[in-house]
Amino acid sequence: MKILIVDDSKAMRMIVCRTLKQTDFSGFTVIEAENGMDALNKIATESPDLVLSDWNMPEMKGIDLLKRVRDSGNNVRFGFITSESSLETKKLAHESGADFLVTKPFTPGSMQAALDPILA
Amino acid sequence: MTPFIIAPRPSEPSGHDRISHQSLALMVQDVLTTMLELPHHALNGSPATDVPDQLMAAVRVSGSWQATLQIYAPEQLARRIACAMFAQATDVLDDEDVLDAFGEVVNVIGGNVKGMIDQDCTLSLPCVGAARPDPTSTSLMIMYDVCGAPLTVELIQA
Repeated sequence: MKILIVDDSKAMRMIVCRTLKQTDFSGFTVIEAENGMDALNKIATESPDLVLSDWNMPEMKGIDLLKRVRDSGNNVRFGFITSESSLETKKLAHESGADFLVTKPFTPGSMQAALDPILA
Repeated sequence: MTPFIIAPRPSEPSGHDRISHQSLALMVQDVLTTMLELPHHALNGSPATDVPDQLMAAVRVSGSWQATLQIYAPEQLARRIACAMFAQATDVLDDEDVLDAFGEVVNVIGGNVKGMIDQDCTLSLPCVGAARPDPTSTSLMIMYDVCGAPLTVELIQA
């Protein structure tokens, strides 16, 4: 299992990676992207099984990354890890083809709850 | 097809169109406890203006509701926060890591504020720089002692 973490914050990528290791899931490798274009390249070249993306990023928002991924016909599992938990954000994420949304700050438990149905 | 999943938060604030002192405090405590796991307690009074090497991080919520969220901390505390986020010792983190981590703290709190308002708004990217709190402001301000240093959180609704 290959997981791509997309976040412009190196600190947050570290936290997401560390939290993933604290869940019950094992046997995954993590790759990182620091912006949307970097993510698109790594989705094309690395073929991750799951993308965990921030919402609020410079140049390309997470929602625009998701739309470009889906427009290309790629059905990779895609979840947002974001502090923006408004109903509008959740609705837009869902309608754009996201599989789940985890709100920051998160715990290993909340991460597990989101990933269980995806990775089971 | 797997249903869309929204992972529960440890403490989910209820939505309304005003941010209270209590709701802001809940969001800040959530970050300090869940994300940073740093010991802290609330402080009363006004922020000190003579603290050297203060850093400020800010995000702006724009749209049908507008506000600026600012956090202040001595560089020493910002570095301690970065250590918690990176799970690294102080001496292996460079200044860019410290600014990144401090900016992400205000970004998370600001996103929670925006989510609580639940109106048609956008959240800016965080910016970080050297600045001190303005104790004459009438904005919503809360302070914490975090690892022995002051963390000031200020929400200016306008």
